[in-house]
Amino acid sequence: MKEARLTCRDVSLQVGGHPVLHHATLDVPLEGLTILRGQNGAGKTCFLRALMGLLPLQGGELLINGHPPARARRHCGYMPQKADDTAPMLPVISHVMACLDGTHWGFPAPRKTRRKARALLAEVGALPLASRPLGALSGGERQRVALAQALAGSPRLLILDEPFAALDRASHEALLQLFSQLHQQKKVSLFITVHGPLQTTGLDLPMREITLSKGALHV
Amino acid sequence: MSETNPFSFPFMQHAFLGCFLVSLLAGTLGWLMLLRRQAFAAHALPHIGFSGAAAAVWLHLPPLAGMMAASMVGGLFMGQEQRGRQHPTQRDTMTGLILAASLGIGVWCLHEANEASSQTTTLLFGDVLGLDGPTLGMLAGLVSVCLGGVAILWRPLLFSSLCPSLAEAQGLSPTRLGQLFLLLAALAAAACAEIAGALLCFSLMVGPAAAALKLELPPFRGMVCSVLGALLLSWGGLLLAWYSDIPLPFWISLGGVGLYLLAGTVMTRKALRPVRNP
Repeated sequence: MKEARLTCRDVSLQVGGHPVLHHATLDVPLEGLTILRGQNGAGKTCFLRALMGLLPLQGGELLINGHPPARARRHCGYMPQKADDTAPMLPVISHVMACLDGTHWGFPAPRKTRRKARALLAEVGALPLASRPLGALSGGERQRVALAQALAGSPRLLILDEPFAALDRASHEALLQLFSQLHQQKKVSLFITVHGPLQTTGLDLPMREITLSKGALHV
Repeated sequence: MSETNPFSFPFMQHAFLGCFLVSLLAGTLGWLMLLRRQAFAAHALPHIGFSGAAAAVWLHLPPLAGMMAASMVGGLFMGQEQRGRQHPTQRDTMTGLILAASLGIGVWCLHEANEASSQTTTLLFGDVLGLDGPTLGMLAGLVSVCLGGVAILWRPLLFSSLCPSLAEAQGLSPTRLGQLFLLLAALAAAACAEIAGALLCFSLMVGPAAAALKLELPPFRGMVCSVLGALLLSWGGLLLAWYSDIPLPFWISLGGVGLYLLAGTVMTRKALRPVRNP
């Protein structure tokens, strides 16, 4: 795969009549950690959804690693701002197993899938939660499980919507360390949205910030 | 009903076999429907099917064929769900509208076919003791189609049911999947209605599945538990109906509530159990 890169060419995006991007143009590498900033209501979540191909553009071209979102998303993991809680009674491991090859037909090989799911949970430090019902987790624990789910397709790029929302300071720092670890060990790049302050000093990975404001993207 | 051995009668043997087939479907599809928060759809599908059966009676066609056709058309429309702000309100509204329209059509068809009132009663309350060889063959075919369909759709269905946002982000269409699933559920509802009737087949699909979900079991074990629950209800109900002279749907409905209460008690006792020190 090519170097992780985000390209916007004259992109216009509207959601419910509200303009998010107005002829926006940008070309940045996505190596390491890329932080998308913007005020509440600026359209950060909508932009991420457009990146995943979930919202259609009104004009222009949006490319991830040179590919349109519908093609590039195979290599992207996504974590929405509010993680799904449609089946809180089922154990955590089942939720992670469901994400492994979830787009393929038929039954999975249960032992192999379970082993992979446990490995993913171990990677994000959530293995002790495997047999607990999803609905019984705290906000920080749920966030770790959501990260394991986003990593299920072995993505090269993780797109995370407000991953630090509702986390205390300790969980905040632990998550940043986890990002750094993911980048160093698995060469995963991260694209995240943040609307508050973020303490990143001492973090060992390349970083850049993009600001979304008044329909334009600035580096 | 009688003090004699119920298994010595061919019609009871057929009934047990029919209950076994239908329990496989009700347990599996019911569990998935509750997981997908489609209990209202599970209630509506057999009623929609009843209207089709009523139309079939009027047109002198096999009622089961009418029931299957109407349930499947209803399922297709109900599956027109879009994820977004209106979901699941939009889905329930659609289900309610289709249910209302189909019941209206059903009443009209029954009015036109007023000579066939005994068939209508059979459709509403089921006729497990009237199952013959060809009907059992048709039920076995339906079970194979539905379970085969579930096996093929298993991974995308579970992915989009447990993690809808992630599934959509990976390119799965919730509308397409929802329609395919409701087509299978419609077939299952038509088959279940043969046993428990359009009015009460809902209880065979929902009761055991609700108990299995209450037990917080992972998907495969949850479905097996749901199937076993449906089997317990239908076979147990048959025996109780035989010895008590009270209709089978009564036992199935109350048994479903009983299973859920039992699962609730098991979970409460589990929660109260003291935690062992490592």
